[in-house]
Amino acid sequence: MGVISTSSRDAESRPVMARVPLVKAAVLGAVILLLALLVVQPFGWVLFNSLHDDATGAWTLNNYARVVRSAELIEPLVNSLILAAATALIAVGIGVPLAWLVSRTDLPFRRTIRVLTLTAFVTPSFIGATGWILLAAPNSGWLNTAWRWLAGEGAGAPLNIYSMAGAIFVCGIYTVPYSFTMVSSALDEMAVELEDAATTLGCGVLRTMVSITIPLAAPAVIASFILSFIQGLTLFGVPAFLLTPTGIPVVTTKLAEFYQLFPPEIYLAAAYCMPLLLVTGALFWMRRRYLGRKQYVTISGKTRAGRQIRLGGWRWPALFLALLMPLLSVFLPYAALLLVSLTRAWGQGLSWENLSLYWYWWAIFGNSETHTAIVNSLVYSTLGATLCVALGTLVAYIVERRLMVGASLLGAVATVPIVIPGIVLSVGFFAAYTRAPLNLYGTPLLLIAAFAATFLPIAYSHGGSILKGIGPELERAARSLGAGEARTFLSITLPLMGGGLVSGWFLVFIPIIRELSVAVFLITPKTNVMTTLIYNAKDGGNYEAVCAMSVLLLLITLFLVAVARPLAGLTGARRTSRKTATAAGVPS
Amino acid sequence: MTDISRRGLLKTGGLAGAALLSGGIAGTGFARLAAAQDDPLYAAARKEGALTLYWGSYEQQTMEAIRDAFKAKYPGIEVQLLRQASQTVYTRLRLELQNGVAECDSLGTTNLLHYTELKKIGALAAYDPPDAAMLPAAFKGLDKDTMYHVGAISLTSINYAPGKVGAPPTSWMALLEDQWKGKITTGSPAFSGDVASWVVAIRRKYGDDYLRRFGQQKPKVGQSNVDTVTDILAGERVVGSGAPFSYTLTQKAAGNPIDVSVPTDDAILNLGLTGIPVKAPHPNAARLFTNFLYSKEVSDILSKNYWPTLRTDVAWAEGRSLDQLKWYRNSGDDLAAEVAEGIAKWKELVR
Amino acid sequence: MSGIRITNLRKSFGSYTALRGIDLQVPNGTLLALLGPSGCGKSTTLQLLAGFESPTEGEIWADDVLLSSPRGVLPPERRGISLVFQNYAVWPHKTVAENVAFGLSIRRLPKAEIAERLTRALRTVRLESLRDRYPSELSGGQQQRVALARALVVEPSILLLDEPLSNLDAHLREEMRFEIRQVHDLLGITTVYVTHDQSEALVTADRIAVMKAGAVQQFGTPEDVFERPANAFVARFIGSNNELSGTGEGEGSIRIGDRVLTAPDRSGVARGGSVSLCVRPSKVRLDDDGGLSCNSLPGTIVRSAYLGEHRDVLVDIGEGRTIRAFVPPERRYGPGAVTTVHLPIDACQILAPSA
Repeated sequence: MGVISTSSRDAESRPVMARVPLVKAAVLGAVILLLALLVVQPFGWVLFNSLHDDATGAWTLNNYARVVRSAELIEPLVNSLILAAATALIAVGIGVPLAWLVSRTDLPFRRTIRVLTLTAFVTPSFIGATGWILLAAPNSGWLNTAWRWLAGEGAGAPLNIYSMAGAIFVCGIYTVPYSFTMVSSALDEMAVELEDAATTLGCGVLRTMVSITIPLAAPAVIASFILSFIQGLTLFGVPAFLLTPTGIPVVTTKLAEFYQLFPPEIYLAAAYCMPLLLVTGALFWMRRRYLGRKQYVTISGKTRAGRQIRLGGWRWPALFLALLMPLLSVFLPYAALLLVSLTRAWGQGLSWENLSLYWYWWAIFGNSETHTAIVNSLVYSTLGATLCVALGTLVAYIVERRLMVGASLLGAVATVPIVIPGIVLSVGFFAAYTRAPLNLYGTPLLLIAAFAATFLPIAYSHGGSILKGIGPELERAARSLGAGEARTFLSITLPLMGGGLVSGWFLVFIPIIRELSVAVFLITPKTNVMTTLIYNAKDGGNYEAVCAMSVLLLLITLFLVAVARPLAGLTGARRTSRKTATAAGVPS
Repeated sequence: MTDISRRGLLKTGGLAGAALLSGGIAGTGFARLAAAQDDPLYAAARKEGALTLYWGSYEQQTMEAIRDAFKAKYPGIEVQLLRQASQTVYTRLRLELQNGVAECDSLGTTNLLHYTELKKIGALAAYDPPDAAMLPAAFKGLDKDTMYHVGAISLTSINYAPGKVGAPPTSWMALLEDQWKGKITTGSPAFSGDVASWVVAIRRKYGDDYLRRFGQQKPKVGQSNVDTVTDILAGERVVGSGAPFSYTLTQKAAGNPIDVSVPTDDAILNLGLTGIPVKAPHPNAARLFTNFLYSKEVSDILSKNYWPTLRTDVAWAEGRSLDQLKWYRNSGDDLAAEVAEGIAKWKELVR
Repeated sequence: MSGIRITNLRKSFGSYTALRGIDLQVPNGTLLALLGPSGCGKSTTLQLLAGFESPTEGEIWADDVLLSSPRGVLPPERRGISLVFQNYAVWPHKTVAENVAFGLSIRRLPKAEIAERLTRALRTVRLESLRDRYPSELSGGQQQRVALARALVVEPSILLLDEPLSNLDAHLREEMRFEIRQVHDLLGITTVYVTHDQSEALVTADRIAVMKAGAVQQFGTPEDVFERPANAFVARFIGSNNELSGTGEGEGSIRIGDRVLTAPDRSGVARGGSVSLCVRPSKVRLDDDGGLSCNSLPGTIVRSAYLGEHRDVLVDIGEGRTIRAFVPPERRYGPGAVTTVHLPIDACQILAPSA
């Protein structure tokens, strides 16, 4: 009433004011500006570079012509696509059922499995590859050695990590955390009513999962498939370690060669990334076709109490399956890394006199650079992840709720960076952020901005899949009660995204802390990070130090995850009051 | 102009030091300190107060030791060290030049081509470090315009696992014997400059036939030549080709079961170079550091870390020296093309 | 409180036209039911009223304030219109009290007033004892009452209800109908109630707008709509109905097959046009005409079902046509029995098929 009467003055002048509220305009403006500075600019430079000649610097289409014409350049593309598709299939094939077990059932040790899966996530891919080389190299791999010990010296080597299968396996198990985290945060918020039918065991439960639960989480499943695919395309460490020895080139190792040449073929490298962009663009297009206008609301205005599906006799076999992942991605490789890190000289093998904490001492106290690097890594990851999630969530909100004309264009922009392998992106960031209007060279902001931009697609896709699950009527109810768009977003949408946002933050934080390539041209002595040091140690062949620092990196991240988990619990959307949560017979 | 006058200053500095000495002040340590403090170059450098090193030669540990020794000798200069792979350091410097950023005071990388290219575009400043006089004769005066100098000496040889190999191969040719089939590990010329140098040298010596037969030995091809050490220590392979001399010795000294075998048909020697960018923000500190590279302190550090020293009067670790081994260094004007051809042939014949 | 005036409202989504120009006048304090099958445009009308969609053509006025026109839309939060959603839309992360108080805190009212109005609203919907519960601990009916309290507590000038009872079980639904009407009588807020359930509309509404395919078929009081449906569609949609299609013979008669029946003609269709004869099953008599003037037809019983309060009998009147009749339960008919169907002329109407 009051609201109406204030506006009745305008009634005489007839047209209704359609003015965009100030806050909304400011936020939209800020988002567009940030996207332009953080993403469009660096990508623009990559594009610009791809159209120039490395030797003369003149405009040319020759780089693209070379990519299309040379069989030597097409073969790595094909290999990369095979690796990426297989990685995505493994990630989704393992990650989704695992997420279901952890989120929806009464599987024992669910929390532990969550933490262990995040642990696998913390592992930089080159560390995971190193661990698996120690385990499954054909001659020296411990698993192969153990096999020969069991089956006799002539038994050969059942495992060969230096193969496409080996690379797919390692990429796959270290990508599972993407699909696991994204899908489990969707499933966590899903009401149980549709699964209620499945009270019987075995086939009944499985069929429910396959035909009801998973399809409902389709936005998250598809987003995680695409991210895993991209991960498989852009990983450098695993193929460099596992495929170079067998002579199978992929795009990222080929890119590294371009940079290794003299003169480095930086512009050709830029052009060589564009096919990746096309492929990923096609994936996003298919996602849109598939999801279309279907509804995937898992948090609606009608609330049901959450309930777990009872696995009954299947609990222990399921636990065994669920533990297989941590075993392969954490326990085995880290056991290997830990053993190496605890030796003074690892070539001597295991013996009491060779056992030493020296490398841990060295990593923590013996090296002046490590301190700065650890602090830098933590600060940049924290700020970068926060900026990234804030921006990604806003873009996802603008796109999902179509708050402006051309919103989907914003979404497309936000998905570009991750597709471009880090080493090429690094050059784009360098060009974009070392000149006006964003001259950040030598400052921490440069790395924070670059990290936030690089992983924006994760924050955006994750935010989008959470938002798809939140019924728009929950927001509309607030609007009709007098809350503006900003207020609605802050007091309804954001809290409902809650736990999903926290897991999204980790989904960005962890890749930042382990990222190497993007930082390569951006770090300066004062802004060095952990991964560069680890890589330098690896470069210098100091394996004991590499292993010790990796274990440290793992412990630090685990500690942070452990600290933050209760936080995630607090923000879960479906709440119960303490008083009544235990009361039996809650009506539903 | 300024250069000449600075050199003049330097001379007077030297003279002043000599005068002090002749003045009868006893104690070499004090004399050195006094000399350093009275050095006008140091005074100018201290006024600049900072120094940024972009270095790819030497691994992190050695580089940090050199940095720390410099800081100890010349207090008052804040030293920033960026240690990355040589090619990365070079690419970064090129990006900075393109974008008008000047950060680097001293560049140290393992590829001569970087310097010939930088010189061509006028990005290097001339400076003649007086202490370079103690360099082995073969490496003196690399550039007649004194725009770049030797920064590191790196040797590529054979390494092996002593416990698992009765008699190690003693030449590159010996690696082609049947007994090494499936036992060799090596780096990739596409990833490692040292391996690329080795490929160029081997092709010059024995032609493509060597590569063909080397390929038939089914070597395991890693990226960096450091991977050879890893493979040998892990027990994946027993002999490394195109392997790093200094690094293998470091690992041996740490107690790991590995050793080098210097091939009778020449260890391949690759020079690391160093130069000062013309736009270096702290040119005096850069000169001070360049000259410091040829000091006894640095050569002692290099010796301790199993690197060939930069002075004839400082012996290598384990009593080795350049004269004791046969070595070969690629030279010529068209090295870039030769490297590219070598990589292409490698891909065709080896992998 | 304000009245609502909707003029020539049209809405298209791409090539699909959801509303084809509707006109409605809702006097202040009226409860209007928008009634129709799914896809008739009633929910679109509601979204337009709430301000979540902008019209392609036409205007929406609240008294003398223009709310929506193609040139602009007053945002939902500035309309003073509360909306209750089909699935309640109670916020799972807020307690009952927090849900209800949300609109008040937006208005920055003094704390004491918020507390006072909150308590009053909770009492009105009988939820005082559950104020600190979270929605997941409430039944569907309780959640619905939270949604209602939340909408009412801000004292809106207009209240919109979007199928508010469709998610409740039958028993609760019947009870809530009266409750909603009672609240309306108490507060007198202009209310628009969207439903596809005709009995809900008849019980609660002062006015009913029957919609089909984006157009209003009839707008009138419940009695108007039930007793004097504007066309066969309305007759069919509201209550049970027999519809016999035929051709207009003029002067209140309709030809159905080779028979001509008499009835008041409200079709407005010219002689020879296609029209329908509509009659409620409760008005159909079997065998005895009760002394009324009737159209009488011979027929055969097809089936007969006992429904407690009456008996539902289906009679074959030949030429593939059937007629339903609700007769007193004590009358028994077996399948195959021959009977005479009487259609009282006053209870019959000749109507146009639909607008």
